[in-house]
Amino acid sequence: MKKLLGCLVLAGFASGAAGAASSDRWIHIRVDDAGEAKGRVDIQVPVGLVSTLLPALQQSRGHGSIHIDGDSVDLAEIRSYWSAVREAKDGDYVTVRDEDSDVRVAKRGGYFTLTVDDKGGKSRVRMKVPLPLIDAVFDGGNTINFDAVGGALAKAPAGELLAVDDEDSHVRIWIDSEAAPARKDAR
Amino acid sequence: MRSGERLALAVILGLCVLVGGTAGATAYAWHRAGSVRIAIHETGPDGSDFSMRLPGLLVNAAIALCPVPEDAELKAHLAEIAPALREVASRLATLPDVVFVDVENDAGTVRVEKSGADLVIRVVSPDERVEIAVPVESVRRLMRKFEA
Repeated sequence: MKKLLGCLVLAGFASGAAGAASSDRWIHIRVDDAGEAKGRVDIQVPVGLVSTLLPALQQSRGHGSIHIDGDSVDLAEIRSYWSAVREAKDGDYVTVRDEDSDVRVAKRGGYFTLTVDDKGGKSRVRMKVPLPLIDAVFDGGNTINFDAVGGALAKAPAGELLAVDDEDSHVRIWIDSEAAPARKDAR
Repeated sequence: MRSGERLALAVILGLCVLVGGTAGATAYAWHRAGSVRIAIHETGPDGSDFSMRLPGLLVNAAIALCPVPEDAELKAHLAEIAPALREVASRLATLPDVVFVDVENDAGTVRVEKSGADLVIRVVSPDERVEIAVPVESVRRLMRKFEA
């Protein structure tokens, strides 16, 4: 009986450890030059590591904040728009169709989505960000609250956050449950 | 066997066990601490090679013994970021072998990866190749030292 209990306890510890190891998700950033200058950037880091580092970045910047003072960016205004969108029902908020491109901004199923398709087929943007992540970005005053962003990132589900394809480059940011192996074409 | 001989044999055996145990423990600690490797290879006809390997045991001892510079500004800065860096270093130890950063362009490549118990940084350019490997444990000790 004692042996059986011992085995059960060991099995419990082992499965717990395995679960802890596999629960660490990875955020991947991949940029490929598509033009003449052939280059690429691959970055992958455990989400937990990013969540740990972001508050440190905030502290190292002093007063726990990074100020956004761009003339064309008024964070308070964007935040008020976001609050309105956040409280509204799911649906398409902006749909633009002109001779150059199709643009669609929507909120659906807990995600904020942005879709841009160039009519010439030269560029394409797909953004699908969990709402709590955007909430966290706008959580501070006239600042970005990295602590909140780190916490939201840690809870973000796996999936593609951003994909941009144009003539010059391809950019992808996604969250996955495991690290990707180095690309074969690497030198 | 006379009692004197038995005593001498016991002393010799005891010494053998002591020396063997110490050597084994040292070898284990030496192996476990890994080593810091720096290798620089310059290409071209006048290129030179530089390679250095420091036992991790010595590096860890140096980290433990060397004082942190008494600079108030530096200390304040370290106090802010050291806990996060220590946490990062601790997490590094639990991660599988993985490439964290891989950048390639016309100027060369930069790769940061965890390989075994080491954090490895490789920079390859048309002129030279640099490889630095640091045991994750040494990085963790350094961060703990900064935090203290």
